[in-house]
Amino acid sequence: MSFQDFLNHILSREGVRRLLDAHSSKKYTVKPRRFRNFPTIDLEKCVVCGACADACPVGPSDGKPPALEMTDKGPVLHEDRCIRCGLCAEVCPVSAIQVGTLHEEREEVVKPPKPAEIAVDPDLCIGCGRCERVCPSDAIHVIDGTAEVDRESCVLCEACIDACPVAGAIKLLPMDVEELRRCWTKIVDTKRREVGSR
Amino acid sequence: MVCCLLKKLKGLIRSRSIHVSVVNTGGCNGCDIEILACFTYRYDLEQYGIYYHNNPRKTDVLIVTGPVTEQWKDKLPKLYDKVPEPKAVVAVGSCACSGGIFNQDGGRVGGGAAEFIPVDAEVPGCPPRPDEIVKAVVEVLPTFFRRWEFERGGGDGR
Amino acid sequence: MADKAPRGVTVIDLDTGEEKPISHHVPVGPHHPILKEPLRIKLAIRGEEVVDCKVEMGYCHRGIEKIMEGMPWQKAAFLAERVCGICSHAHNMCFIGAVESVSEGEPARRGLFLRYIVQELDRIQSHLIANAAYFYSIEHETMFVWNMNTRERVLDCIEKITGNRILTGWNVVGGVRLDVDEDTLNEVIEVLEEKVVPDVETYRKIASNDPFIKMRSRGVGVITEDMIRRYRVVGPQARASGVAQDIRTIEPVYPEVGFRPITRDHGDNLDRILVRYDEVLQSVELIERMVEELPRGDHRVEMKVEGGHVVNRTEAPRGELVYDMEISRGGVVKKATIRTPSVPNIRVLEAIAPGAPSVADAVAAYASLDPCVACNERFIVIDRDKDEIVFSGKAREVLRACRSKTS
Repeated sequence: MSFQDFLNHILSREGVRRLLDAHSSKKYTVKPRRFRNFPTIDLEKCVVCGACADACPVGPSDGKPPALEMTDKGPVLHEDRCIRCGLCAEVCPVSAIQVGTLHEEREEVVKPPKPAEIAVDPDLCIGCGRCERVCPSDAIHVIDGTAEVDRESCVLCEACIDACPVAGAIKLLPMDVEELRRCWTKIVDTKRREVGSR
Repeated sequence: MVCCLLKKLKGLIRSRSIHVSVVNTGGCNGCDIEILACFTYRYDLEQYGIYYHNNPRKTDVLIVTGPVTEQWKDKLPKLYDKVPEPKAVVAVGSCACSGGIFNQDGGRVGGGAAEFIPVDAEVPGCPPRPDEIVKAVVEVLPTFFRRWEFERGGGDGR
Repeated sequence: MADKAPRGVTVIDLDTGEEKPISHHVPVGPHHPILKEPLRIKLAIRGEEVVDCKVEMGYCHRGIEKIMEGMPWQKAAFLAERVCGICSHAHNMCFIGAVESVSEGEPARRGLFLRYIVQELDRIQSHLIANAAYFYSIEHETMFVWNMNTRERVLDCIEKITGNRILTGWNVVGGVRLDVDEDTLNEVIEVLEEKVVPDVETYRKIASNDPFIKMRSRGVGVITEDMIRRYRVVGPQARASGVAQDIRTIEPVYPEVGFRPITRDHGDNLDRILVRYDEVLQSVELIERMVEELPRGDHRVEMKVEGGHVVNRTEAPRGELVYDMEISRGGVVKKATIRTPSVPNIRVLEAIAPGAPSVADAVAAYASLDPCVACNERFIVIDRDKDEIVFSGKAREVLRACRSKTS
């Protein structure tokens, strides 16, 4: 840096501001992509399974809660207890907890079972293609004059049911409650076994 | 009017020169090292007028790291009493905030520094990055000392 | 008359009328400008000369071994890491290695290489901070700041690979947590070759040639082979005295990349500093060779923990680290005993400090031993009836207290 540059810096607006105000902190370094910050919890996605609270290595003691406390509405993070280990993000079955890139880079993300499915009656379907046009997730397609649903990408928004001109051609079939419960228990059990809960 | 101006002047001067002492009350060293890194080239806390030396009798700010272990439970309040007024305490790291991972079944530690001495600011994280420490210290401490005369100071302004 | 004059302060015994020299006691710590960690050193001095030294520990006792009991390995790995913040990766690796040795199958090869790459980076930053602390204790602030600055670059590399600067949480049973791509490793090697190696070579040249550093360090705090045997000194402190003792020779991966321990002869403060610089340069070479031979494949494999009793040893930056654990089937820790290298390394101060010409030299000798107090505090005796501490820190007195309570 030459003397000219130095003078220019001091006389610039930024330089004058820094001279007068010494107490505002600058941004020093860029945090790396993998930096494990405090977990962010998405309560919308949370299924209240409790796996994260079981996985947390910071247990409760007299007077102090554990770092991740389970309540009826979902996990609550106590930042003053958290050690930023990221185990909660690794065990979460639905990626509702995000820490660094752990939730992206782990091997397999368990897809939650869907509580219902969209069924098309092939006898009633006229193959007009309106459902294909309104579908937000591109999950329904007309193939050979009959609409077919891709269960993986369907989000159960029921837009196709509203759009269908034939009443009863597209139906929402809710899943059996017992079946759903069994699915969920299986997922949560595998996750808990992975993290070795007490 | 004059008294108010005097107080403001005192606060301004105090906020520009802050002396810091770091106390490790039995932590794992991680936070101490990150605080030490704050005083080297890259983060350079001294550019904000914050100086580091370890004598509690000369300092304004006590930085506490680590959970308070059995042996420190009586020594930490003694150390706090030696710091002259005006003084502030910053708890750095989740151990100093709440006992951290050691404060659970089987551990022989107290639950954070706040149980033994009044704590003014907390920086959670295990360990917090130097960025976070610098940000917390630079945002909290100068304001604290600028306002001290008005909020906590003695009646005669001394 | 002059040669009989006592050095230091004298006191007259009222009964016999004799004049006796007494020694002053200088307590250092637990909170003291030279100490980064709580520890109490009691120095007895006569005049300027140090005649006796006692080390008291116990200020860092947190009860880690007790908390670890009944924890699954996934959680206990994070606790083992928090034994010490500077050599955290070595603790984590030793713990995970112990669990792996009682498991079925072999850990992933790629995972092992990535694990040891981070371990060598950790060793570089630990050695640099140890040398920085030594230069701070002999008030050579320039070298202190330079060393810390080079350490920042190494920390950047660790951060790029693992995500955190220290306390990385990098190892899991069967490999490492995340995979690392080739670009990141090449960037790390570039930083090491272009920034760290020239810097460290300069520091080594300065440390071995600078007259002021030589005056303070050469011939001060000499550890002889006899002391090494008596106090069981390990790590760079032993290697500086010519004892080629290194656990890395029997660890996996290292023999494949051609590792050979480095030794020096004098065993004084200066040689301990220089051995650390040598090892930093050697670590850079090891990392380069490991990256060259990095196998492809999975970074992590599933391993089933069988359980059993296991003793695992690792070369931490400060020396030999031992985890003696009992693990149940499924990976729950039943009992853990940790032996850290700093215990004998700090104890040897009681042998080398007496005879030091001044208190400042004793302090410099202490700093050159690379003390890590947080590692040390493993035992405490508590009277359960009164709920008070009987003793903490000294093995002999702890034994005596235990016997008096149980017999």
